[in-house]
Amino acid sequence: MSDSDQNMKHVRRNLATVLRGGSRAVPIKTTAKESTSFWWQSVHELYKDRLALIGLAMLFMLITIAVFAPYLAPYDPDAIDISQRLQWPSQDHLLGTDKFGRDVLSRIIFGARLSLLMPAIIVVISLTIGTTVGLLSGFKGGLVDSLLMRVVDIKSSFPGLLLTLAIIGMLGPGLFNAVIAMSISGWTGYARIIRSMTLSLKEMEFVEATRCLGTSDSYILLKHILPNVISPMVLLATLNMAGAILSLAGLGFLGLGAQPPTAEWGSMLSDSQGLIFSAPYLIFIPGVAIMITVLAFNLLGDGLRDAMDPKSGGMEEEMRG
Amino acid sequence: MMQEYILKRLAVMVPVLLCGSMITFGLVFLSPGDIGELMADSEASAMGAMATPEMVYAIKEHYGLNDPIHVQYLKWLNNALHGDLGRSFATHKPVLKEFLDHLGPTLILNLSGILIALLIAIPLGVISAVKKNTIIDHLCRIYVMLEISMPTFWLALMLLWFFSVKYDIFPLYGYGVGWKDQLWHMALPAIAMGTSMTGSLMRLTRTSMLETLGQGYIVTARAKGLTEFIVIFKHALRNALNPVVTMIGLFFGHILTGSVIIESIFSWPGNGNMFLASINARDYPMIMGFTLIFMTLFVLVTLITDVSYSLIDPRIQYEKS
Repeated sequence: MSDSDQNMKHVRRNLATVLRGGSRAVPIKTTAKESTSFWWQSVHELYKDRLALIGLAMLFMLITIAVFAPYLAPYDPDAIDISQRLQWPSQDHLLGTDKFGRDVLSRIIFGARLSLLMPAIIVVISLTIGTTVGLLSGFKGGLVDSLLMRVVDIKSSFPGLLLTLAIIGMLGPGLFNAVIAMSISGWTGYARIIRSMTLSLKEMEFVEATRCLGTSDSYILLKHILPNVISPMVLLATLNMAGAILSLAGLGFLGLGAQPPTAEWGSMLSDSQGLIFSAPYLIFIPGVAIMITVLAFNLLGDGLRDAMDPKSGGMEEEMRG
Repeated sequence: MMQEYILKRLAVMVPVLLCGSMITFGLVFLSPGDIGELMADSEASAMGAMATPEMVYAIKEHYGLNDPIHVQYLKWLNNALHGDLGRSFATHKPVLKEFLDHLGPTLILNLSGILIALLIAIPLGVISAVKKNTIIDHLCRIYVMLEISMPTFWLALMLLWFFSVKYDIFPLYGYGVGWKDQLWHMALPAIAMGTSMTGSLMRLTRTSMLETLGQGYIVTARAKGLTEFIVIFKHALRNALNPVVTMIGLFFGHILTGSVIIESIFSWPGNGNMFLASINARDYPMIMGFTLIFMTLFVLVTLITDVSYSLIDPRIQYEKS
């Protein structure tokens, strides 16, 4: 195994430890495998993981539903028909109708668009900010690093959703404002992890070699460091999609995100909260939709984490071996 | 050493909190509309009248809103340090009094929620780790996967539907009178809150326990001929609890944001509900005050969590430098 492979493994192991929330050193597994690319190895590992494949299939299905919503939905999601209001699931309306007689199945299908797209936007924005800050901070070091990391520390002194809620409180409720608020408050986690990876990457031989060739900092950063943090970024994004979907749906439920009559799962649920006696299916169905989507991302994320973590064989086996 | 460490951490807290307070204060300037007019409207509506331009001017003069921004900030900070966070637009009571009045219900709900979570998650996490790859372990892991993918509000509404609407065991919402009644009212929100924490806690306990069970001293303990019970509970569990303590600390730190949803569903008269009402009513002094208080508490709780490590694990010493 070449040196850079060994180093890459070490980076991955660091990432895995960071993701698990621990800081303990992990014993190094020295069984040499044939040298294959990181991506190929990960895809191969992922392929072996049945649960991750199920997650991938679910995700593919959800994206298909979202893209082809106008062709799949049996009714117009916003068509009000008071004569058909609060119909329990039946042959005409497979998932029933809501208090305005709108078809729930059609609304769920159209809701998939917002529930996938908006969290994706949030993750992309915060990932972009986080990666930029992390790369700069880790690579430049010194004053830049201290300054940026103090910003991260200060941001981290706001617990969980507090900053998001406070920003929405000032900007006012609404889907757009919720997306802004969540993007602003979500990037620090990425910045920390990308920084720690950049720190170990920049000490490696291949970076040193490039530097000896006289390349500029920005070239090294973009051509050598960035490609090496992309795969962990994909993993982080997948894992954080689940959280972003849950938080955005939660904001919708609290009436701070998407506003009625927008077909969004969280706000559909909150719209029907008062109907818990007469039409509990209106509460049941959007919740299941959210859960399936989040489950897809969690299964896929878990699979990716195992695929990128060389330790996935488990320590127990090692102890016995 | 301990005192030194705590003092150092407290010293670091000061700039962090100072910057946090600047952000909190700065958020007001994100808000559309003129805060002086809003305050005048609020005062006027309390008297059943409309705000006149003279009134707006008088209010701005009175609250110093015509001053430059840094003077306003220093005044606000000075008042806040003296326990004066302004008055709520909605109730005209001091923000601090509103906070303290609603603190009890929030604390009691969160404490019982965390207790329920610990009672369920730690034993199941330990069993899952000890019986790794058995049917019990698989069931536990399926439960964890489903639980972390489930929106809290949906879980709470489902519990509400099942226990209050369908079987009428617990009351639908409210706080109750007298401790027995209160306990009865608290059952469902506490169960919902506790259950929503079990997934991540169980997973963490299992991972940490597995890691500990692979350590050399466990092999030694077994080799000494100790009973499996003593090995697991005295040797392994105690060492595995460290990350779990971090997570419990996080739960405490997230008391406000964690209970916003549950409190709003069950109309629980706590701080979370209060905060949500303030956001919806654009009650700026309340939003700012609550954000500041919860940020401070969060930073303190983080410190307490870090310090409590050394109580649980005496091997951890804080650096002397």
